[in-house]
Amino acid sequence: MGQSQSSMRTPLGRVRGLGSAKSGTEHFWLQRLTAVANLPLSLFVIGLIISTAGSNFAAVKATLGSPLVAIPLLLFVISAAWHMRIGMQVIIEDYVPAEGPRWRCCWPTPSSPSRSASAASLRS
Amino acid sequence: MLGGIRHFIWDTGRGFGVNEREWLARATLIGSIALTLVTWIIAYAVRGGV
Repeated sequence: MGQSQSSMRTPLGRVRGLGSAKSGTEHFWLQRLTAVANLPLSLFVIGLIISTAGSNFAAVKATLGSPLVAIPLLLFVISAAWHMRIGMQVIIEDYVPAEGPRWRCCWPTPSSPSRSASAASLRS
Repeated sequence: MLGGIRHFIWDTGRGFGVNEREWLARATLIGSIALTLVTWIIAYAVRGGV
């Protein structure tokens, strides 16, 4: 369907952490925010790479030394990494069926013992 | 990036028709290859074939 990441959350879905039980809306918003930020930032970084390709170390070091270059580059790294992390979480949430691999390979969000216990009790 | 733009189009509520979805998918694929080629062409033009 490709719409929002967390539409209707049943209590079971909330307990099992589907769509991030705490912050689905936050994920949705951050994903859009980082996406919008990434558009100009990625174009900037592509331009930066093109303009520094083939230069020697000293020249590139001088280029990166300018805050006008370093700050957008840093913003890009942060925004893109965050965007990728949220996106990957959603992919795992949506497409990995087995409960075990999901918890093990995906959850950077701290899972409270109560949530795991409830999920275990509700698992059929 | 084009995939993200495609999601934004969906966010505005457009592009859900059968033909639109197909077109968007194809456009994302073709567009990304085309943009990559354009980027490389620009890079070589600017750097003079480095």
